[in-house]
Amino acid sequence: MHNPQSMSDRDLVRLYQKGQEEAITELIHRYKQKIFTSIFFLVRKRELAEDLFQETFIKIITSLREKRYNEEGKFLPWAIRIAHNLVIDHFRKDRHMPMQRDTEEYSVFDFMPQRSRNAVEEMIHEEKINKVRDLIEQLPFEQREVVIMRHYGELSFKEISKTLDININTALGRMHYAILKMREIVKEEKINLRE
Amino acid sequence: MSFIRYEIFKMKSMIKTTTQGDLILYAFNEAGFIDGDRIQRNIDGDPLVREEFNAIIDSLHALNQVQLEPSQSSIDKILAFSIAGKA
Repeated sequence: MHNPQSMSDRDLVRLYQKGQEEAITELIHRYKQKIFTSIFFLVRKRELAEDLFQETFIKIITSLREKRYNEEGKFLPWAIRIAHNLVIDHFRKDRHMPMQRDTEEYSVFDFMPQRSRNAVEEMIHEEKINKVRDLIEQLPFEQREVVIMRHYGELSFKEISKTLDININTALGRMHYAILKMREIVKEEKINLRE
Repeated sequence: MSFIRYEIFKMKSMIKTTTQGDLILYAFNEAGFIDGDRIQRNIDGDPLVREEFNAIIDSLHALNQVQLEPSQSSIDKILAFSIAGKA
């Protein structure tokens, strides 16, 4: 097998279907943060996010094995749609759509990737990341869903409208209101987003 | 309609304004070549449109900063599932 890091998603999928385990390891490594972040911001509970992350990859693996993947190289949007469906299924079973912010306290740094920063830089960065996290969490679910699918999941607005069964202008409108809301919070809390 | 009013009407109908939706599509590289060119000219020429566009870019920049990591134990379980399925 060539260096997996330099291979396209499509080639990794083909190799995995031929039995190369390194291919799925690379796909997980490549997209774990985007998929996990998307799930986490929808459910806002770490343990549940971990469970749904595992379920997402189990579905991905099963689909790849059964050759049900035909997304022509668009692995991430496909994976995000699987994750999103699992989240919605979970809320349906639970009959609890999280419209209000949960009170669960945690530090986002409990599960941030490790980076080489000194302690002061780390503290400033942590504070800022937590503010941004709050920013996203304060958005209503429907707006958060569009922001996550477009930004982390890299689905086009057309794909989002199809996935959520909404008009493309509705998807754009939700993104617009999410940005307005984020701006409002940024102004109120004087967060500098440019650094 | 007087001549001046007619000219204003004609000019207004020639100028296609940039909507928030246009700016969002442009920020995500979904505006297409022709619309993209029109939107960029509006951003360059109108401070209010530029301010709106910069706010969108700032929001996207903020989102970029939050990338969360799943636990190693979750990844190990997925890999174990994958290997078990091969046997």
